[in-house]
Amino acid sequence: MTTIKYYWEDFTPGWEYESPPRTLSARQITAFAREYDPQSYHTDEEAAKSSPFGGLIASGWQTCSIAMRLMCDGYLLQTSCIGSPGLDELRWFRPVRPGDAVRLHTTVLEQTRSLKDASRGSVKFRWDVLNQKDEVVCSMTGRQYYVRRTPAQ
Amino acid sequence: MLDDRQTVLRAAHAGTVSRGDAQAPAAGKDPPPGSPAEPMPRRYYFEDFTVGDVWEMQSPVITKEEIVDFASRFDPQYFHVDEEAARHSTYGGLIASGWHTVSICMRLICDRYLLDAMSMGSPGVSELRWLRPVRPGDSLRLRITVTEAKISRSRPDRGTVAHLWEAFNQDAELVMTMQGEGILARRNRSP
Repeated sequence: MTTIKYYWEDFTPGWEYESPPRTLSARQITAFAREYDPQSYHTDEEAAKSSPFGGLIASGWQTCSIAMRLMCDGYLLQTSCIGSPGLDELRWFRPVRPGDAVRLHTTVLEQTRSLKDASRGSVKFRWDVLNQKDEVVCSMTGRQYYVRRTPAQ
Repeated sequence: MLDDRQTVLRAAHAGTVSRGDAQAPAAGKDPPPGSPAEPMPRRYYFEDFTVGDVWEMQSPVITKEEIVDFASRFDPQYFHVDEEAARHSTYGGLIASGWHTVSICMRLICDRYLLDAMSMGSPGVSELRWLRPVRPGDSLRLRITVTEAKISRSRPDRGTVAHLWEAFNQDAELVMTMQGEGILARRNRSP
């Protein structure tokens, strides 16, 4: 376990983070899809050409999973995060295609103390995934739970 | 590893889905140049999903190795990848990444009907809730209930089907719920 640098208190509304980009190859797209989402426009370059997308695209769940990894590498593993109750909204606006370089942009929307447990709180985030053309390909709002730095007595 | 898993998943759903040739178009069957590609006919179209329809499916047992493998790639928080550290976490042991749980459910839907449906993707989902941890040795029963089906106004060749996802563990506890949305082509309508 790495040392915790960021606690609940640090995620004040307006806090932002932007990750470095990660490029997705056709091989990575088809490998993920063969395991979890084997629709032909995710697994078969040739069949994907006659799909509504005109070519291979990443599973939306892969885009989310990569956003999660970018978050982990960017800051989450250095935080007191203890999980998430879920997402309110998740939108896939544009396909992610082989060669696209996606990055994560995090913004804090709300910070709420736990009424039940004074040692923790929740933070509501907006997570946007952008491509190399600065287009938003995916956008999520959801919450995570964090332990507080100085638990109230 | 991957192939083993696919075999297990296929075996778990043997007989429920005829995959046909949709995943592997035969060589030499390409349309002549210039003509629009004709998509392969499928078993399920927009019309086949009506409000109240229920689809049920069952996952294989989820192993510790799978949980750690997925999380090492996409969500390496200690309670997903480090059994020993996870024991001292709020969860008291290793748990699956929420993204892993969703992805397992997506695979179940693919094998049950989606690969045989004229699916045109999804605009998104809402109210995704991870209600209880998924632990090594758990298996999931997924219930999909169609909650809304409406024809697109702007593109009458397709429609949107909204559905509630409910994933239960082997103790019949709800572990995840979600409101999903899928776009499906209508039968006998050219785009």
